[in-house]
Amino acid sequence: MKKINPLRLFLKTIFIFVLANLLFALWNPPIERLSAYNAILPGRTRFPFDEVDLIDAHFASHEISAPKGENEFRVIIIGDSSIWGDELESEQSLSAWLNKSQNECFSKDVKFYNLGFPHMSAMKDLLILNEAMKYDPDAIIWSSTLRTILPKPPNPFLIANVDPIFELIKEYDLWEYPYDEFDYEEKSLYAKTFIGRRKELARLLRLQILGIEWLSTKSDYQPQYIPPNAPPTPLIEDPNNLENETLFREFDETDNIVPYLWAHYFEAGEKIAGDTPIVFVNQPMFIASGENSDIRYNKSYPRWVYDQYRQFLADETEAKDRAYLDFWDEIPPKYFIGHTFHLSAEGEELLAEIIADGFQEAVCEEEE
Amino acid sequence: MLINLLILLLFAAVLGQIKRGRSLVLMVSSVLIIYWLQPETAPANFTFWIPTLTLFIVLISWFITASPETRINQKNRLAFFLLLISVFAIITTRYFDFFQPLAFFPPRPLLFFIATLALFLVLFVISKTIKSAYFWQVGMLIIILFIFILIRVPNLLPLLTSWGTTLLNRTLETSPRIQWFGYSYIAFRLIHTIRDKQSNRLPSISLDEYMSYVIFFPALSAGPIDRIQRFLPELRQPKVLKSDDWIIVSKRVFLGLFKKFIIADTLATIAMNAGLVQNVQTSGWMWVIVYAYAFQIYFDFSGYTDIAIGMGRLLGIQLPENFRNPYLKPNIAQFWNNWHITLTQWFRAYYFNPLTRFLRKKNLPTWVTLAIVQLSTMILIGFWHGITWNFFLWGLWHGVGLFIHNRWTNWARQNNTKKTLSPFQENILSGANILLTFNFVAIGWVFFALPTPALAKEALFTLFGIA
Repeated sequence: MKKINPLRLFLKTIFIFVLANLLFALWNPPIERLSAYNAILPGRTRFPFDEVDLIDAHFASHEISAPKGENEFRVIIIGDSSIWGDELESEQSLSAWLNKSQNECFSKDVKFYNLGFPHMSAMKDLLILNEAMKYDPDAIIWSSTLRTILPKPPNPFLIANVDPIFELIKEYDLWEYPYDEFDYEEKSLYAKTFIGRRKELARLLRLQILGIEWLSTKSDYQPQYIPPNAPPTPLIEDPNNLENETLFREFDETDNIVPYLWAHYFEAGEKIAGDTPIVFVNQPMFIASGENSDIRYNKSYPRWVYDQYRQFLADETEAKDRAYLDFWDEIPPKYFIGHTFHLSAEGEELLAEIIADGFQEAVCEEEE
Repeated sequence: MLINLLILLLFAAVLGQIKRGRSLVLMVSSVLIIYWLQPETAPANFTFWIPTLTLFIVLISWFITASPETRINQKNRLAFFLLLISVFAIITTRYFDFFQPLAFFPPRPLLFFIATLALFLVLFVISKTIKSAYFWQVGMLIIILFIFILIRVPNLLPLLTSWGTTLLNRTLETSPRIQWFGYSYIAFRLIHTIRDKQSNRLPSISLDEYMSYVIFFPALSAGPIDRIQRFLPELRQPKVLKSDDWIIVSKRVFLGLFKKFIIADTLATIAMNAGLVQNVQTSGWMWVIVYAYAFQIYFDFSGYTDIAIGMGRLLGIQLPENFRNPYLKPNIAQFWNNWHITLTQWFRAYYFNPLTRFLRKKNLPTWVTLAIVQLSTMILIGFWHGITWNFFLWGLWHGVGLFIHNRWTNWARQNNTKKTLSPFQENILSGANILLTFNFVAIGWVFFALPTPALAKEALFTLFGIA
């Protein structure tokens, strides 16, 4: 048997390792688009939260990546955690309830897709909308609130998708966005190697493995053990009793907040959507009835600022002839859980009924 | 964790090249490494005191097993001095911000000085009561087991602390939460040396050699549990790595890293856990997560063992094998001969065999002796992982399995049931046996992986489609 020289073997191994990494970096394959979902696993009904950051990986794992049905009227819903379904199973989210009601539009079966993601940001919504247009939607429901169009620094999800966001900034003149906080640098050669992308690869692999869990439990997040007879998490404070505070960020009642809103992001969205109709929804929120509820609607908003925002939306809608559904006070307080905007499963069901009617009227009936 | 392992591997490769004073260098290295690897605990200063107490216990154990002449020879005095200097070096890190990220939480030197004085006092008392060596050895065994129980019974320490603080009318800022790095393995090595001393099987050993054996850093977190009689010759005359050995070692380490960080960590995502069991609703998927757990625990554990063996080899010491394809064995007895081999051997030597000998003298029927010995051995192995009802059930499951297998084999032998089978039939039978054994073990993991018997029952009911 030929004797092996360990030093030569070591050097050869290093050489092959470096060469393989270099080739990988030069090729720079879009691995985030590879997915077991919609191939050997059913697509997820909402984006994976806290698993991966790259938008392509989100879409690749989502059921929207599956081929569109022949008789399908595809409706995407974009928004924040209230659309994603925070603290709810995916089958209790708004889109799931809408799909259960079996709507029709232009004699086609309407299928709603949950493209919500837990972060209140118009830039995040534009990013998702821009990507979603590749999947041929027939209509768009865009749910937002005042905080969606307030200036806000990027979160880790947006930072991870810096390249497509720059494209949006350039394309739609969104230069007021604090892009300097991205700390943007061209990806180095090392960052493109197998080793440089190891964390990204590991997270992608984990996402695929989690598909087995998704298949077995219909739960799209790691289920936590709840011991039997565990006491329910107590509410720290009564959401009905509010602080005696009318300041909103650095603004007070004498200020006009409208110039500070990034409302032109809606226009950018309309440009991205092109001929595809958008139904704008002012999302419902908890309205308190206790202490200081005469000056505040809830923990998030003093009355004066939210009233200004609603008036502005109404004016914009009229001026720009938008389909607009204002559901801000449509859901009774008992359907909210733990947060100004998060609904219980029953609350989502109720909202689905209202939205289905509004959607029919705004999209299906209008064009017929 | 991966980075820590790579640093240790590199360190072992360098350390393995040292020719003189190896055991002293190895002792000092292992001492520093147990401080480095000790997880942060609550209260924070326990992070320093737990490894320190480990060292004191190991030192006292050596002291009570060494002869009076050995205790005070020059080499051992030097080792003792180096040991104290090493711990003192850890204490000095409190004065350098550079070491803050390592989170040693060293106390003021005065406190360590007082602790060292207490240690000297204990050693002095022991040395003055030579005739009571047996008493000290038994005392040490009790202390080792007491600490074991203290850290293995969930919530026992917080409960005792709560009683203590109530009695003293004091309050603690945080409830104690202790992780004692490597104690399970250290305790077994100490018990082994003390019991061997009592039966005159312990060779003469210096302090640095004893320390190097008990806290040998490659085998501290996941074994194997080597025997000192096997370890010592290689420590004194380490195996020199030849060119081919480097390839074997590299292969072993890479195999271990692959098993642990690629296979086991990937399987961990879907392996059985309490949250998943509460959510999986069909029998088929429950089997999937149970099998995933069975393979995850095997690859995790055997991966660590591969790394430990590779690292040991870098240091010139061939650690014993701990896993030999356990899931490919045709019966439960063979499974236990090939799963965590060194732990099984330890229990066989220090519990199973002595108890069997004792019970045989009582003239009990063979099956009664066997039942008592096998059930209690496996229950104790269960308790070694944690003193909970679920580990008790896991031990009981395997104990019953071993007992039934033994009785069946015995019956078959007596009744000469063995028929001549064709090679094909032999293969089919062997495959069926392997499958049966694997599934028996996999079902046992349900008790092992879950926190309560109620949840284990829920998982088992789902597995077998019982509503």
